[in-house]
Formats: sequence, structure tokens, C-alpha cells
Amino acid sequence: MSAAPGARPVTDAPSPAAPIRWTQAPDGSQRARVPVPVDHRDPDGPTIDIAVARHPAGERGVRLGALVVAPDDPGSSGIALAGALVKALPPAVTARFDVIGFDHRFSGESAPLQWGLDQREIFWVFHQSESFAAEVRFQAEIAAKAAERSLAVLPHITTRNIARDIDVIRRGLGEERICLLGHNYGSYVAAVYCQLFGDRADRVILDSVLSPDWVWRGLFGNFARNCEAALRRWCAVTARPAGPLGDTPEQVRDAFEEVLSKAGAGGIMLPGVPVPLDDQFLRVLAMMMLSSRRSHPALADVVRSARTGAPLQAATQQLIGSMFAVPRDASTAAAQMAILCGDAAWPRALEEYESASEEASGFMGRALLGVKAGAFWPVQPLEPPTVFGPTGAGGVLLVQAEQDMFTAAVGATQMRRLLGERARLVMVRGMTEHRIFPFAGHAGVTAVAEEFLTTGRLPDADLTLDGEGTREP
Amino acid sequence: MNQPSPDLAAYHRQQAEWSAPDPALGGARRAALRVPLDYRRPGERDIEIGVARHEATGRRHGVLMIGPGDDLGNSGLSLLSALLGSLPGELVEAYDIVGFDHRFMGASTPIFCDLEPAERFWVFHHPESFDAEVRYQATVAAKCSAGSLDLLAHANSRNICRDMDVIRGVLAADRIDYLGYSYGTYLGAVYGEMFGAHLNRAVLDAICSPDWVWRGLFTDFPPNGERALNRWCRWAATEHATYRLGSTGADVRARYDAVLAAVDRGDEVTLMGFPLDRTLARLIPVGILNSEKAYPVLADIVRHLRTGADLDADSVDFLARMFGQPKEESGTVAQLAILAGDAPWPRSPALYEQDMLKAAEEFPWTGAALNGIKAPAFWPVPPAEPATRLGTEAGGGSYLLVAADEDMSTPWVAARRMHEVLGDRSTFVAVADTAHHRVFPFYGNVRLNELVTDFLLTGRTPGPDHVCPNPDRLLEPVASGPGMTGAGG
Repeated sequence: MSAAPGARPVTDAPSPAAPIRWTQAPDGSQRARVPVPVDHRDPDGPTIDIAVARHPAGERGVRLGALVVAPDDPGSSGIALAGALVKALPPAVTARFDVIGFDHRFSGESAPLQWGLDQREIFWVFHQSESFAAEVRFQAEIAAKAAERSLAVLPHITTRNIARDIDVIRRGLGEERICLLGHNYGSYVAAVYCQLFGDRADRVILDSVLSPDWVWRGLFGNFARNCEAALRRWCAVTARPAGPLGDTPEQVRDAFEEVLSKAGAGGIMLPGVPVPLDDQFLRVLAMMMLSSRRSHPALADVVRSARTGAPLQAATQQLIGSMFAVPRDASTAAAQMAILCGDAAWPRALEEYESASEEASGFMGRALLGVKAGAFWPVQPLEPPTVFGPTGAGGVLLVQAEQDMFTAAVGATQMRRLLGERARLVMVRGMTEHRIFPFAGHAGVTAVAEEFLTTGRLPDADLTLDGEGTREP
Repeated sequence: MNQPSPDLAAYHRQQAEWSAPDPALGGARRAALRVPLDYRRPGERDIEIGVARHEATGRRHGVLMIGPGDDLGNSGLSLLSALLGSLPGELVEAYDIVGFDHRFMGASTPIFCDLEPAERFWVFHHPESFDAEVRYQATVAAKCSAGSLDLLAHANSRNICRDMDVIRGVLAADRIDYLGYSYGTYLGAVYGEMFGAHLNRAVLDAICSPDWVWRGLFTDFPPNGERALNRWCRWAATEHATYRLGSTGADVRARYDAVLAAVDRGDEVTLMGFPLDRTLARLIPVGILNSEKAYPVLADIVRHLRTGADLDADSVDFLARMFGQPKEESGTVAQLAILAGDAPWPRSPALYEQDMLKAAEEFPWTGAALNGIKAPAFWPVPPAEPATRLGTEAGGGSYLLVAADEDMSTPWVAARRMHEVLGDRSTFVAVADTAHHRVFPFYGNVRLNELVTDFLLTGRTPGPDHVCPNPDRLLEPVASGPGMTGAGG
């Protein structure tokens, strides 16, 4: 149907966009709004403005170019991420690169979606109902809101169009080529950019990498399995003789399930937490605490406290407070849904979801494998999902923790395989960290990434590093 | 005048290869024409439209195009065949009469999926519960769209009208005359709006309201259904001696409702050994009530259901016709795609649930089925373009609008609404005291048949708001009824 641009030769690139006009922001960065067409097939049609932030390179003499940061979750602010990154990136990188962040189309400050989603709907990903029929209604109602408010733009809210927006930004920056850094979903955005505009991509880092095979229902099933595996590991490390939750992993698991069913039966009050926790909330809380070893003790503390009524430790209370300090925004959830439901068509046969959720195992299985709004999505993708292969990018460095719960390591190995010879994978053995460079402070990874960004040199071969060298908070 | 856009010229110039006369089509010759799947991209992908032409047997006056389907999704070629056996002889002499199956059904790139028998009746499917209905209707939408969306995204009335204009071009007719029933009346109106210069005279009979497109088609039905059912009850009461269903309309209604209640409870109620479910127990009477000529069949069936008495031979024949030739599956698929593809439907389950509960209360016979959630609420693509605004300056053609005042499926007020929208380009003819869907020429009202024939051949119209009386009137009119007189005609 639509002509999907392949990796296009540099000579065939569209005429340069108007130069971006920056204004100074109070935090020292610069801000701009860059118009992009809603429908890239119709460049003269309606446009929206993409909010872009630039943190200029620290040292004029050594500037190498622009490092564009892709938003790390669909719907999440790329401007906020870029702000966090400039504080965490090695000085050698911030000295040489303008760090560019943006809120992707129809999120954040870039024409956000207003669907009037309520608190339960915002957590649609993890939602489950007492019956399949009730969940069908819940998810169909959300899709109806999307149709009612945004039908005309929905088909254009896709990763491929975000990649096209990045190229508009590149042209506005006046850069022949850009470097890219993408974590989690951002790794997918950056990888798609390389497929569409490979000749325009120079040094590209994909960190905590999504597999193209997961786009996107597959991501849900994959994630359910990872959560369950993480819970089992937690049970194993939490079990100890005369421990508060039991001395075998089975006893710890029973304690967890007991608390979960208590939450489901009417909510549990945790001392110091103002609202009762229902089972859906508790699952999300457990999922977040399982994602890093550092918060494993906090989950044990939550389960202990929920069973006995004993107060939570101060550190646990603090952690819970920080997790929910910034309430999830309805427009963030809407943009997330638009992409997860819009990049690739979801099955429409309800039996498929019903049997998947009946057969689902693990504490997140039924919620994640059940029917989702995608089954009722009111539009179909205008083009097929991206097919991956070697690209014209200068080089691609993939960085992955072996036990990352959010993005299982198989995603990185799959992407590495597809990208071929100009890609290298650095796998960190035994590590659970999600988003390693630079946030985890892993010295080995930082050294490889810094070298790559500043010189363009990739390791000679894929590397496996061990988890040591991670900076403890 | 007859200049298609350059992109379409090749389609208009194609040579039709006409078959030998097909006795199954009343001697019409068949051909398969190519049309663009997507008129925004002619030349990319074509689909086939099955057409048939019966040449004028006398001095040729022009082309009379028959709108496809009386009911949406029914074969236009079958309709052509039925008409060739029923039209006044002067029309068969004067016209090349052309019928076609609309895109994606019958002979026109049909689309099939594996619908269960019960899933073919989604329009009148009677909900067991709201949740069960959500499941059922979502499944119908999923099955019908699975694997064929690249085609079905282009199913809509405007594209069917564009196909009609290609047919006109292939026939080398500068202007056509048109006869359409029910959904075909809507196509006739849209065609006149889009291709007014090429439309001469159009007869629309059993008229859809321009306001229906298309959820309104469903939500307008329940009150008309109640009215039609009660009209039959009044008639059956006059035949109490034969059928023993009650001597007042209310008695008869109570007896039919008792049958429905038994079915809804799950009692085994069989018709000729065939178990009735809550949908069929309503749908069979709906089919029968489209013509008062079939009133005795329904009376006979209800007697059979109540007492087990053998059915009359006429009833057996009627049921055999009804179930012997079920609507082609491709018709069901295309019907859904068009109903969903002309204008967006609401998608909120909560909205439909509210509507369903309210209508079930108000119109117990079919309210829950027709105001509840429907498959288009789950259709996976939005309409490709906005629905047609009718009655604008751009439109052309002169219309004769024909409405039976007691028609259940396309009520008199819907036809009045079309008259209001088409304005001076239309003349309204009412057929009084008649419960019949598609009156010309099928009902056999001599005066009406003369009027329509005269209009087509000469352009002469009767005076404004002409009423054809019904000399074979079955029932005394009810003075207070909301029919023709009550509605201000």
C-alpha cells in the first residue's frame, strides 16, 4: 500500500528541513518545537509539533555531533530521559556530543492524547477481571475511547513514524548523520531508524534490547514468563531457616500467594501506605521490586508486613513512595497503548485470548496473556512491522544484562543476529539491571560504550562481561 | 458528458465478454467486468464485478440498471432474474435491463469465511445476555474480517456507486435509468449525488432513510417491528375460526409471546422438527411479515408451534424457500463490511448495553437484538471516506419514490425523509393500506405499476404526494395508527 522507504542513499534524501530555532530553558538546555507531518506519506498534510530538547556539547573544540536519545518506553518523556542522561553519561561523551531528547509523537509535550482514561484503565497492561467476559468489556471500552477521541491520527502513531520524525529532527539539526542511544523500547526505535535511514545513522547503542519478534503481543507473554522466573529466584534467595517467610522456596511462594489472594479478596492495608492494595496493584508492586536484586528485600518486607501487620521497614516505605511518587499520567498510557496496539495487528479471535489466559501460568500470566485493547483496535497498521537486517549504520553496539526481567537476554541476541556484521553485543553475565549504560555504572560496559561513541571503534567480537563493577547505590 | 477521469478510462473502455443467454437468469447474458479495488489507486489492483444484461426485446429506449440486493447482501443477479419474470412487458421491450452483484459477494470477488450457521443471523441475533452478545458479535466481526481486510476495507456504498458508473461506461450509456429496492434505494440516491449527470430517472421502492447510515437502520426497526407484528395479530384475530389464535389482536399477541417465552426459557419448541432458538423464533416471523400476503403462513406456524397441527402445504413451501436458499455467506460478509464501512459506529460496550436494556423494555420483540451491540462495533478498520451528503446542488437525476404505508422494514417515514432530502428532484407515491416490502411490481397494485412504467418510459410523474389505493386491502386501517395519515402525509 504505502511505499515504505528502505535504507535510502544519502543523495536521495529529502530537502533539509528548516533549521531548528532553539530557546534557552532554565535548566541550561535548549528547547524547540519541530513540525512533522502526521502522515509521512503526505508531507504537505497536517502537522504536529515535536518537543525537542538539546543539551549542547560541553567543549566546542572536540564536538563530534549529535547523540539522539530515543524515549525508553512508549509514551514516556524522552526530554526527561535526556535530562537524566546528561547527568549520568561519561564526561567524555557529554563533552563531545549534543545530547538530544524528544517527546515522541502524541506523547508528553508533543500533541499528547486525551482519552479520559481512568486510574484502572491507565494500568490496562496489567489489568485482569474476575471473568473473561468482564475483561473483554474493560478492554473494549478503552479501545472505544481511543476511537472516539483519536480515530484519524491512530494509524499514524507507530514506531516507524517516530523513526521518521527523528529524521526530520536530524535534518532540522543540520546533521548529515546522527548517533543514537536507545534503552528498552528506545532500542527498538533506534533499530527501526537504522532500518529506514541506515545511511544517516552513525554510532548506535541499543541497551536492554527488545526482540523484533515481540512486536507487541509477544512482549506480553515474554514478560509474564520473565516475571515468574524472577519470582522463583526471589523465593529461592528469600527462603532461609527461621526466615520470616519460611525456610524453603515453596513456603516463601505460599506466603506470597497468600498475600496475593488476601489482596484480591478485598485489599490489604500496609502500615504507612495510605490506600489498600488490591491484587492488581500488588502484582505491579511485586513486579517492580523483582526487577532488581536491590529491591528483593523490600518485597520480602511487604509480604511479611501484609501477613503480620507489622510495620514496613523505613527503606521499604521509601522505595514504595519513590515508585509511585510520580503518578502515571493518562496521556502517557494512551500513547503507550497507541503504539503497542498499533505497530502490528493483534489477533481478533477472542478464543485465542481466552485459552491463552486459561493456560497461563505464573503470577502475571493471566493478566498479561488475557485479552487486551489491541483485540478491539479500531484501525489496522498502514504498513507491516519492520523487518530487520544489516544496515548502513556506522556501527551498532548492543548492551544487555543476562537476567534483565523487562527485556529478556534473548531479545538482544536475536537483534544482534539480525543486524549482522556491523553490530556487537556486550552481555553482562548474572546481571539483573535494566538499562545499563550509563545508569548501572558498570565500568566495563561504560568503557566499551564510551570508546565506541567517541572513536567509532566496536569490540573485535561480542563480549561477555561479568556483573562485577556495578556501582552500588 | 461521458468522459471518465483519465485513470478510469481504461475501465470504461474494457470489452465485456457476454455469455450465451443464461436461462437461470431469465435469458440475460453474463459478463465479468474489472473495476479498481481502490478508486484512489486505479490500475493497482482490480476486482471483478459480475453483471448480467437482458437486451431490450423491442425498440430500445435505454439502459435500466437494477440496484443490487433488495436486502443488503442479497444477490443483485437473483433480483434481476426475479424482475425479468415480473416486470411489465413494456419495460422488458424497451430496456436493456442490467443487474449486478455488488463487490465482494456472489459473482463479484466474493469473500468467504467459516461462519457457523448461527453466526449468519447476526443482524437479528437475540442476546442471551449482554456479555454473551459481545462475544458473539465480536466473533462475527473477527471471522468476517480475518484474512480479507485488504479487500473489505474498500467495501462501501460510494465504491459500489463507482462500480455502477464503470458498468454504465462499459455499456456506453451516457445516462441510465435505475430501479432499486431497500439498500438499493440508498445506492440510487448516492449514485445520483456522485454521478448526477449520468442518471436520468430512478425509481426507489422500499426506501432507506438517509439518516440511517447505518446504526439507525437497526435502531429504527424495533418500533416498526412491534407495529407490524400487532397488525398481523389483528389480522389473525379476524381468522380466529381457522387458526384459533385468539379473537382479538391482544389475544393473538399473547399466544405468540407465550411461544417466545417458552423458547427463551429453553423449552424445546420445534418447527417441522427443527428446534427454534431465541433468534429464529423472531427472525422467521420478521421474514414473513415483510409481506401481508404471507400472513396466513405465520398464523399457520404459530398454530403448529402451539398445537403440533400439520403445516399447510403453502407454509411448507414458504419455509423451504426461506431456508432452502440461505443468503450466500459472501453476502453476509459484504453486508457487514458495508454497514461498518459507510460511517463509523459507536464502539463503547457500555453505550450499547444501556440502549439494549432500554429497548428490550420498550420493544420486547426485537428491541434487545437491534439496539444491542452489533458486529460493526468491532470492525477493525474505520470508514475510508465520509458518508455521502445527499440532496446537494451537485446531485442529479429525477426520482420517483415509492412507499407502502405499512411496510415494516423500510417504513413510510423513512421514505418521507428521503423525499425531504432529495427535494424537488423527487416525486412521492404512497401505496395505501399495504404491508409489503418492495411493492413495484411484486405486490400487483395495477395503478402503481402503471405509474412507475409511465415514469420510466416518459418521465411523467403523478401530482405531488399521490396515493395509490389498495383495492385488495386486507385490513381496515386503524384510524389512530402512526402510519401514512398519522404522520402527516
